[in-house]
Amino acid sequence: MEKLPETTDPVRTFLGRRAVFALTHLVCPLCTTGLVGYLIWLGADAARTPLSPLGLYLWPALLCASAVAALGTGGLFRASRGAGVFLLSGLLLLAFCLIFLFSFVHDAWRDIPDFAVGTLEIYLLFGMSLPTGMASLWWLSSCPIVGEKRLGADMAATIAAYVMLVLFGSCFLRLGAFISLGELPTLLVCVAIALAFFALLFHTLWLAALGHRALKTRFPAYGFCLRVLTVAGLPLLGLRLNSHIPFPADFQNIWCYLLVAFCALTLLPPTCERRFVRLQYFVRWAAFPFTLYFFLVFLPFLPCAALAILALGAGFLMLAPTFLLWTHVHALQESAKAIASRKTKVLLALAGLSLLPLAIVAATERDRAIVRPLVEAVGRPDFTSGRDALPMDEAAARRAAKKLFDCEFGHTIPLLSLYRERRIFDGLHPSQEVIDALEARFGLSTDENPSGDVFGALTRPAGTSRRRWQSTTPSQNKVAAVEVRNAGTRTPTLAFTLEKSPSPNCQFSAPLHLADGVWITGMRLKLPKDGEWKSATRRDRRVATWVYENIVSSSRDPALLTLDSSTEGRLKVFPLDEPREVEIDLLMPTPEWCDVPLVLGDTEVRLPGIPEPPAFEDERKAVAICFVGADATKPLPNADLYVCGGPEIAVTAEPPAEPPYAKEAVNAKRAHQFARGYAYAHGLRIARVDYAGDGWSRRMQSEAPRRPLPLLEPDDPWQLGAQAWQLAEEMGHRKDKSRLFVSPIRQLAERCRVLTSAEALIVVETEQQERALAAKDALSRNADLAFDITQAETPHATNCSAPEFLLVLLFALALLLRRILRLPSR
Amino acid sequence: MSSSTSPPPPSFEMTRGLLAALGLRLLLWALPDAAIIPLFCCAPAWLAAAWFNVPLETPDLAWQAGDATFVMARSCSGETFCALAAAVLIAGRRWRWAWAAYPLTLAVNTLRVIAACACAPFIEGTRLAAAAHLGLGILFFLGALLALSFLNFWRPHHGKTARND
Repeated sequence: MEKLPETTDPVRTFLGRRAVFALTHLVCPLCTTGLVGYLIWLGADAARTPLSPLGLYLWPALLCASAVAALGTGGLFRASRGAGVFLLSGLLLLAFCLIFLFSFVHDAWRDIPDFAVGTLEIYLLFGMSLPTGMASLWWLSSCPIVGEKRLGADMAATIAAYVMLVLFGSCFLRLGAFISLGELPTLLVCVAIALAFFALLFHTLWLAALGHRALKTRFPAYGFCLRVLTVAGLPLLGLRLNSHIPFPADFQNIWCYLLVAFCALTLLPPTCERRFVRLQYFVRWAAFPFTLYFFLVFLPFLPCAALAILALGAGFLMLAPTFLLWTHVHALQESAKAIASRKTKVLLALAGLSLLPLAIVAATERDRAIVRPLVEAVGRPDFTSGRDALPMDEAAARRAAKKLFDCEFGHTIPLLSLYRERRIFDGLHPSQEVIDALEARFGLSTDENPSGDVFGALTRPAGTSRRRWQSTTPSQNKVAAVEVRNAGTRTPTLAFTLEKSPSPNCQFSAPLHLADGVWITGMRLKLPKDGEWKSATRRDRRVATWVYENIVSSSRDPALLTLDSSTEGRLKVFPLDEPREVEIDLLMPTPEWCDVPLVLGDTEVRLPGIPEPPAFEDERKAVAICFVGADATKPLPNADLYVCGGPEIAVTAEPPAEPPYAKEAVNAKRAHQFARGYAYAHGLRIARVDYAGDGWSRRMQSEAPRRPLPLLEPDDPWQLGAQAWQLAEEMGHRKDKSRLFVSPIRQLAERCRVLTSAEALIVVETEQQERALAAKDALSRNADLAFDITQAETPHATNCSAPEFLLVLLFALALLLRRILRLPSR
Repeated sequence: MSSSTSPPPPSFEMTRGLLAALGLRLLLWALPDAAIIPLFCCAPAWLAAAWFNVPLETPDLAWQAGDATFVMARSCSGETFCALAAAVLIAGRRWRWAWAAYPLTLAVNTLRVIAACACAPFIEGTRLAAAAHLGLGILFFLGALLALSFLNFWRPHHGKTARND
C-alpha cells in the first residue's frame, strides 16, 4: 500500500495505519455497494416509477459501477503512480450521483416504509460513498501534474477519516436497535456530513488555487481575463440568471445593471500611479457599498453554494458577490498604496462610501414627499377643490402612484425595501380604499411580476397580495344552549354555550342577526382555565380584528364581536377544545322589536316583551331622538331642535357659516351635491342633511388634531340615534352647557356604550395581549385614515438587542476600514 | 533547564478549551429565558425579519414568511456555539478576543436563520425536513467554528497552522 507522507500529526499517523486505512478506504466503498443493492431490492416491488422500464438496465449498471469503484479504490491505493485524472473525476461524480439517487428513491417511492429508507440510511450512504470521492481527490492532489500536496488535501483526508469513524459509530448504534439514544445518531451523521462538506470545500479551493497559479504563470493575460470575469462577467451572468430564478430576490432593475457596469469601470482599469489616483480611489470607494450589499445579501447562502452548484450547474454564480468583494478589496488596497497621505485616504473613503447611501436616502425622501400627499389626498378628498382634485399635477400624481404601487406590489429586495417602506409609509401600508381609488384613477395594476417570483413564497402565501396574511382557522357554528337573563327589561343578557369542536384549533364563527333597533352594549367570555369571566373592550374594528387573528394563531383565548350593519354581525370565539360560554348584553329601546328573533348561527332566540313605555318615541311613532346642546356663549341662529336617526326628518338645520366650520360646511354641501350625504357634529348638535341616492356618509370633525374621523356606516341610522339618545340623556343632567365639540367617535361611543359597525368588542386573555391591543389602538388613533394600521408592527414589548448588535457591526466595519487604510506610505 | 517560552502541549490547550466551553455552557444554561432571549434571540430575529421585509411580532419573536410562521425560541439562540467559540479563542491563547464570541454568535445565527427560513418552503413536509434543518444548522455553526479555529491557530509569520510547526 502506498506510503503516506511523513508527518508529526499524531492523528494522521493513526489514520495512516494499514488497518485503519483499509477500513476507511476499502470497507466503506464495499458498504456503498451493499447499500445500492439494498436500494434495488427495495425498489423491486415499486416498479411503477417512470424509471421502471429503464430500471432493469440502470440498477444493475449502478451496482456494477459501484462495485468497480469500491474495488478500484482499494487497488488505486496500491498503485505506485498517480491514477488518471479522468478516472478519478468519474469516481467523484459517481459518489455524488449515488447521493442524489438515494434522495430520489427516498421521495419517489413513498410506499416504502420509513424504517426501510430512513433518514439515517441516506446519510450512511452519503458517508459511505464519500470516502470514494475523498480517495479520488486525494489521488488528484498527489498526481504529478498538479503538484505537491498542500494543506487542503491533508485536511480533506483527515476529515474524511473522521467522517468514517463517526459514521461507523452511528451505524453501530443504529443497528444495535436495543439502545435508544434519541437524536444522537442523527446528530452524529449530520456532523459527519458537515465535516465532509468542508473537506470538499477546502480541497476544491486548493485545486482552484493550484489552477490559478499554473495559469497565471503560463498566460500573461490571465490576470486581466480573470478580473473581467470577476467584476463584470459573473455579476452580469448572475443578473441574467436572476431574471429566470429570482433568488433570493428579484434584482431586475435598471439600477442594478448600471451599478454593475459602474463597478466594473472602476475596478477594471489598472491602478493609476500618480494622475487621477485620488479620483480612482474615490470612485472605487463609491462602488464599494454596492459590492458589500450584494455580498451581505448572498452571505447566508454561501455555505449552500456547493449544493447549488451540484443541483444547478449555474449555482456557482452565487459565489459571484464573494469574488467581486474579494477583487474590490484588493483593488482598494492597491489604490491606497498609491496615496501617501492617510488623512486623504480616510476623507476620500468616507466621501466615497457615503455617496450611494446618500443617493438612496435622497431618492426615498423624494418619493416620500410625493407619495404621502397623494395618499392623504386620495384618502381624505377635499371637495372644496373639486371632486378629483389632487395636490399635484396629473403627471406627477401618476408617477407617485406608480411608485406607490411598485413599493406595495413590486419586488422587494432585502433590507433596502424595508428602509424605503419604513421611511415612506412609517411602517404602515395604504388602505385598500386608497389602492382601489388609485387603481381606478390611473389604470395601474396590482398584479405581480409576470415573470414570477419563485421565492415570493418566502414573504407571503402563494397567490395572495403581499399586503395580507390569510388565516385559515377551521370554524363551526354550533350553539349548545342559550339562556336569556334579565328578561323583561330593556337590558337583557343572552348567555350562549358553544359546543366543543371535535377537531383541534377550531374557532366558533357564526353570523349574528339582530332585530332593528336592538343594540349591543357588552360581551363577556368565560376563560376555561380558571372559570373567570373576562369582559370585552370596545376597540377600533381593524385593530380588534387584527389582534384576534394574531391571538388565534398563537392558540390563545379571544372572542370577537363585530357588526357589519345595524342588524348583521358576527361572533367569533377561539378555541373550542371544550364548551365555551359567552354573554352578550343588549339594549332594547322599545318593545316592538322583541317579537323579532335574534339569530346566532342556526339558533333563534325570542326575547320577552318590555312593559316599560319607550322613552324617545315621538308622536308619529318614528324612532327619532330629539337632542339639544347649545353653546351658551355662541347660540346658533337656527332651530334648537334637531332630529336624527329616524326615517323622516322633522327639522333640518343649516350649517353655521362662521369659521372654522365654513370649510366643513362647504364640504358638506359639495358632498351632498355628489350624492353623498354629510352630517357633522358641532357642539353636540347633530344635524342631518337630506340624503340623496342610496346612502350617505357621516363625518365628524375634531379640533385636535384637525382631521376627519371615521363614523358609522351609512346603513345604521338607529345606532346614530342611540348615541344621540344617550347623549341627550347625559346632557339633560348636565348643568353646564359648555361646548363639547372635540369629540372623537370613539369617545362618543364610549359615552354611549353601544357597539357600532366601526368598532368591535374583543376579549383577550393575557396582559401581553392587552398591551398589544392598547398599543395597536393607540396607533390607530394617531395613524392617518389613508393607511392600514393592521400592517404595522406591534411595538416592542421586550428589550431588543438589535441596536447593540448594530453597534458591534459598525465597530467591526470600522476595524476593517482601519485595517484596509492602514497601509505603508511611500 | 526547560524553556519557559515553549508552548503548552496540544492536550493542555484542548483541556483548557473544553473546560472553558463547559463552564460557559453551564453559565448560559443557568441564565433564565428573560436574559437569554434578549441577548441571543432578538437580534437574529430582528435582522431575519428585516431581511425578508416582514414584521416581527413581539414578544414572541415570530414572523410569518409565506405559509409558515417562524419563532425564535431559546433553543435557537446559539448558546452552545457561543460557548464553543469562546472556548476556541481561549484554547488558542487569545484571551482578549474571547468577547468576540458573542457578536460572532449573533452574526452566524442570523445567517443560519435566514438560510433556514429560505430553505423551509422546499424541505417542509418531506421526510428529510428535521434532518435537513439540523444539518443546515451544523453546517453554519461548525463551519464558523472551523474558520475560527483556523484563524486562531494561524501564525502569520510562519504561514502554517500550529500543527505543522
